[in-house]
Amino acid sequence: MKTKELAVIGGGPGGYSAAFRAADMGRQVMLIERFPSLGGVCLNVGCIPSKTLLHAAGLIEDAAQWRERGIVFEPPAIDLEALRAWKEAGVAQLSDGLHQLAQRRGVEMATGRARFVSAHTLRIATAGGTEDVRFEQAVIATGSRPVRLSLFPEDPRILDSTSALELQEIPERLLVVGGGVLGLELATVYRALGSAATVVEALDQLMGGADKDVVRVYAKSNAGKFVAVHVATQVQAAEASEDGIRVRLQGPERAWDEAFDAVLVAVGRAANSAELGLEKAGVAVGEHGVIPVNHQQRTNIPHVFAIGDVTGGPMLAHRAAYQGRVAAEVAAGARSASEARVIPSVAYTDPEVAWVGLTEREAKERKIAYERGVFPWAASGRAVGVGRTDGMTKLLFDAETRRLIGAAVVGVRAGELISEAALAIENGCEAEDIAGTIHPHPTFSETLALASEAALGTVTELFLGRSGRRREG
Amino acid sequence: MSREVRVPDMGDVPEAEVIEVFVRSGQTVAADEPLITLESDKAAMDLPAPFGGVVEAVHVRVGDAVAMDALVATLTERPEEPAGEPAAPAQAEEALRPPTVPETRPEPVPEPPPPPAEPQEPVRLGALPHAGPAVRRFARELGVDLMQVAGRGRRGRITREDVQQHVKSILTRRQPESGAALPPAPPVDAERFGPTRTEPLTRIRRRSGANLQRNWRLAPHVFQHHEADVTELDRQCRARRGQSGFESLTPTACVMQACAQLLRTFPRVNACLSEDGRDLILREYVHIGFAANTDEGLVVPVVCDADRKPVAVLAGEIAALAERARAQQLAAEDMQGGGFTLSNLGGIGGRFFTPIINLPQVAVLGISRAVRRPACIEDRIEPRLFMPLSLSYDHRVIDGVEGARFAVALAELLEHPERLDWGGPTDP
Repeated sequence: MKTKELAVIGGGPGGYSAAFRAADMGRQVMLIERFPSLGGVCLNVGCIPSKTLLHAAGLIEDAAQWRERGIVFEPPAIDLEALRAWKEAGVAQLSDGLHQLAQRRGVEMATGRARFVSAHTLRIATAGGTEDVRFEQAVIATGSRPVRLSLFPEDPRILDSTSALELQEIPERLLVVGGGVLGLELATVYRALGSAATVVEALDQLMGGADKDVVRVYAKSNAGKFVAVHVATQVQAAEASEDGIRVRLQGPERAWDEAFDAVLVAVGRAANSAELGLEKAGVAVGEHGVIPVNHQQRTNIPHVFAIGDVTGGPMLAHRAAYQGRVAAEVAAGARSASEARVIPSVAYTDPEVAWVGLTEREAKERKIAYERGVFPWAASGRAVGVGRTDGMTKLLFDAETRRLIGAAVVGVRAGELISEAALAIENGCEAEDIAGTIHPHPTFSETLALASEAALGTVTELFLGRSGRRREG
Repeated sequence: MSREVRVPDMGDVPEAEVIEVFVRSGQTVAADEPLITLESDKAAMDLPAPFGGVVEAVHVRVGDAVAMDALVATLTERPEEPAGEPAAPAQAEEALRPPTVPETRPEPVPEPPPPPAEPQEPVRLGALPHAGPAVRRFARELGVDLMQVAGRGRRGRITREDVQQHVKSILTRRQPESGAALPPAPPVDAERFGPTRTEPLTRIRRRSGANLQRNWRLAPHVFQHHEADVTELDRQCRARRGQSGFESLTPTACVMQACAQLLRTFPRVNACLSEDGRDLILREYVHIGFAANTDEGLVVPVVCDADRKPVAVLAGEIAALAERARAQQLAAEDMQGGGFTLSNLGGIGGRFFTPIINLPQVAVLGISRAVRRPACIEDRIEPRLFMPLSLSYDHRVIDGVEGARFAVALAELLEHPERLDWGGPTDP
């Protein structure tokens, strides 16, 4: 039987990070991926292709927006096949790059589904038959899949995030079930490509994790761009018929029926742990198939690690990659651990919404006194210049230690801006640290410095009134 | 008394939308608490209560467009509060500030929490150790708890140097000596003065070297020297040698028998200190080790229950153990459990030495070669055979009187070999 020091199950961002880091630390590594291409959901049917399409959507909307500013384009003609090909070429380029990186490191690749048959043996079902591999240590990086709702019938017009990104056709009337990050991103894509999109969300707010005032900026900017956005509304029934999917919706005040040409279900993701034979290895599984791990990414079986979505939320590629590197280092005997304090979240909507650390709601729930520094983009020269004042930068500082504990940015490129806040939190920066760092002007990033100055009461780009200004030096 | 709260002058903004209403009628509000949020094209702003009181009525709803002087709410002033608080008019004026005014806005209505994505650890981000990821990783590698480290950076930020300093100070503190740290060892420069060769130390020597160093530093050694007149003992040994049962008779076996008897009467010499140094642990058995030389270095096999074995048996066991030591066939168990140790250099010569105590034991006896010299026996001068004895003991457990008494008692016993349990055929 083949023997490997480390077996990594799953070739997504977490899995390949673990495999590559382990190989760089001198381990013999086998990376097992069920699909022929590396990169997992993120690269193949998630983050990367969706960002390609969101960029295309932004282009269309920008062009339309500049009509009244003197730049008039013809209405766009959309060649879906060419767009799909462009998206797929990007995915293929990145995936090929990963394969080369694996090869150069001497990471052995296996294409197939792996199951544990004992605490030290995996059985890999490949196209050519099954193969058993003995391993000293293993990393489970099998990720997650879209949650399916049983109330929807089996029908090609019922989409999940994976099939939606395949871009088979652009439905005229699209219902997006789930007003979280994923649902709103895909709604943005289809809306720009011509769908009349309706969004329903069961909670009373879009993007449940973000603060209300932040979401309000997004909602205001998007007013009129969707057919309707129904919060606190649930889908009660759905029925497929020839002329569409009939859906029964229950809102806070009324219930009604509506027909759609397609329904995109984006209500969350579930851990992929069921088909791994974990019981054979003795690995414990918690609620919803999530594998509990410690800060070294070890499961209850010390030589078996788990990382990324299969260990629960937030289910984000950057979290998985970080954990993958930690697992590889711990497996190689290094004193490593997952000790990042915060994980940023980004909704690549239009405008983008990004947040990191504590929200105001969490700070209040945990009774943490904080000070708030907000800079509305209406006062940003750059935002005014490009006609995107639909933004806001908000920083939260611990009232006692004065350090940054949370940040939220809504606006174009908010996802790029949030990294500075994450860096500041990890390094314990205060408002003076951020305000005292000269930011280039005019940029969107300077709104972080200006929000810090607003918290300090020294900002000159806003007028804070008598109580907010700081008079001493 | 009821007072009306109206929309203030919003500068160049003619109209704003009510996007949030924080209060309802009947609710008590404090001064400055926001009543509603207004949003114009430019920004959002809160309209605070100009004074504390009870909301009588709210006249606007979310979505209303309001202009200056529009009626927002009616408040009843709290009777106990002094009317016309000086802050109140100022606050009302302040509401006139231009838009784009961010300000802390408490949200009085708690929102339902979203489904928990991940169990939140009850840590306060702002109260965690003030150190960046690189320093946190460095500390983890060294096993340093950053909560214990004093940061010397701005506002207590912990730098890499602070972690290093912390480790250094702990290492210095742990030195058992109270004095200053040792200066570094002098450089090894032997090759500068002539040709040299380098030979690796054997495994045993490397290990025992480290242990000896430790024992030497941990135990305060006192050395008690004495001599025993072993003329008679020597005569009896010579007489027995060759008899069956005494084929391997050596002075070591005789001294071991004597020590085994004495350890019964001097239990502290057969004791050890508890790890925390608070208790004396007294052995109710007598196992005695003896140093055996091998090509690889020194080993110390142990003879168990030496107090219950006559010289003949001890001699046989010592010979067998020494043979296995030379053949490097000793098992770990053969070298464990000793309460006292003998080190006999009599085969070489020399007089007196200072053996190092084999912790956790508290004493070791060094035996040198017996020499014949003239001695005064009452009024006569006679040739007598004297065996030099060197007792090293741990002064934390054994005081000087007891150490000397043990040495004297041992000499006496060796001078009266009839008191030893010889075993085998009796008197020669």
